[in-house]
Amino acid sequence: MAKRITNQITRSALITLTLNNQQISAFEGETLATVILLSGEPACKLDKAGNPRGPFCNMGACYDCLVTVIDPASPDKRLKSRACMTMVKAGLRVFTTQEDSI
Amino acid sequence: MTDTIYDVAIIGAGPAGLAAAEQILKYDAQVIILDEQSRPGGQIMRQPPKEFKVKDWLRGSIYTDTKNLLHRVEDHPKVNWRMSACVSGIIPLEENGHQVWFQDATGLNSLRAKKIILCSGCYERPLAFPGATTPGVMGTGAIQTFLKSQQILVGDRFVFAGTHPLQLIVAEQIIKAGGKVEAVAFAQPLSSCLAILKQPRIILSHWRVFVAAAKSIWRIKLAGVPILFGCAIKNVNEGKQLNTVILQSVNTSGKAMTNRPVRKYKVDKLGLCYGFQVSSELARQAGAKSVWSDNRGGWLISHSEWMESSLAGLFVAGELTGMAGADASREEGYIAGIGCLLSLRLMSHDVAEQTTRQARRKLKKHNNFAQALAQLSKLPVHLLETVMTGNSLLCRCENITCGTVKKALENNPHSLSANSIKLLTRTGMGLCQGRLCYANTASLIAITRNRRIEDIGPYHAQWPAKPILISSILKKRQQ
Repeated sequence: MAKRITNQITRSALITLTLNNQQISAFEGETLATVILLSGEPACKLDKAGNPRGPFCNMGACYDCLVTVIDPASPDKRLKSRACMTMVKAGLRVFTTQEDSI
Repeated sequence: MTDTIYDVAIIGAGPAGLAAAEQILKYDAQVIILDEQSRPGGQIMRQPPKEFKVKDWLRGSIYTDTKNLLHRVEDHPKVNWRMSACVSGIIPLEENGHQVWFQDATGLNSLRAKKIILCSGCYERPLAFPGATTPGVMGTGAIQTFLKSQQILVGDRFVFAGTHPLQLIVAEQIIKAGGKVEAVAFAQPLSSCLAILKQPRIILSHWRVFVAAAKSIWRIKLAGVPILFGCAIKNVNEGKQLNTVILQSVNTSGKAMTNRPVRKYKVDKLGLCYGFQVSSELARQAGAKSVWSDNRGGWLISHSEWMESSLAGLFVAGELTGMAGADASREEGYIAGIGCLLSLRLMSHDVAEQTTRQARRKLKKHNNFAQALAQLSKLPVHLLETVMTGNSLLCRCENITCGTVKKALENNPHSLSANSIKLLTRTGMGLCQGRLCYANTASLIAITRNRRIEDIGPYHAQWPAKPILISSILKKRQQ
């Protein structure tokens, strides 16, 4: 399971968001891929055969870490976003391995 | 709709882009730098978030020059930054310059620039094998960027398998960060790795890299981790998370040695390290000529001595001219920057020649080293046939197996090009747009048809070079 390195690192303020409707805390500047890996369930999306996919390239090339996000600023809009390229944000709602997640 | 017009747009804020920017900023020119990441540095210097304070970030003398360059340019008051901007296309304009299309948080945008310097870097080449898409199988570089930037250790227990020595560096960093590494496996024999030591000129010019590698090997050994040779990935478990990695012995040509027992590891992360492919889609989409290189990263962009591609005003620097690492990218970026100033008539030819003399000398040395490294880390000739079994996913996005593509090749004996196989099977049509499957697909066609990849060609590169939201296209139209 993933863990934060704490030695000689000062992180920023903690914020709260939800991952699959569960409240979680994360540090500002962390990516959704990071909080998903830290959650212990690395799967982000289901592929075309319905199999789970997790972060693979961590640089925005592979699209395996696609998740669904709902920004609190526009709660009616569900957007697909690469978890490795998206920062956490207070109130953000993040959904992984949903059936509609491509 | 009016676009802002810049003198130079630099795409990619890694060592090449930063070095180019630094030269151009010395003159009175309007520069804009675009990058998909939120902070400059490229993959080699993936920075921690601005909100973090990391003591001794990227220690080690091999990073010093590139880090200094990053700090000089990042704090430069004259740079216009467009970070978290994903460039989707470059359109040459009839009158003057190019239009650059990019998507960011505000939607789809465009800008105009007289000259473009494209420094789009590279990505890791995955192999296809049973279970390759199980969460927990990652690029070795990805494991490293999580460590460098996000400051997280992505798992508890790791195996690394590949041909590229990067896996030694990352394995050591994982051990240092408190992870347990079970094995670092090279597919090639030890003798192919040691061949580089027979080139004293390269050792002398790049002694810092050799010292860094030796230190890594020493610390890996000290931690009791086996470094294996002639050992490649066979398969991993399928399902929600990685738990089992199976490695197999292969001979010097990469064929399975079935008389040797397989090695089984209970781990939650596998780092793949089978080399890199250059990210040349944007340049090819714009119309720049490319040339195939088996071991320097695929379809490389051809260029003049001033780093100008076949498309006037489009300069290229860094990995997309051939994998050579950060130091070479820095020198190429420097030359491209000067080349750009020359073509903008902001610098005379004599001064340009003189200013780039030292960079060209250094670049030559770095390219010699890169050639030796490419030789060391090339895949054993039959490795792909051994690893890519019929049920392995070749195209990860569209879930197309190697078996399906082989069948399509059998049923269509005249199909040869990568594009025709793409049309027949949908390989390369998914969200990654063929970035992850191209090298393996092209190799599979080459092996089956007994032809060279030059005959097979690249996947056609077209706008948008990365997926964009339809809603952002509509929004742009309404503007």
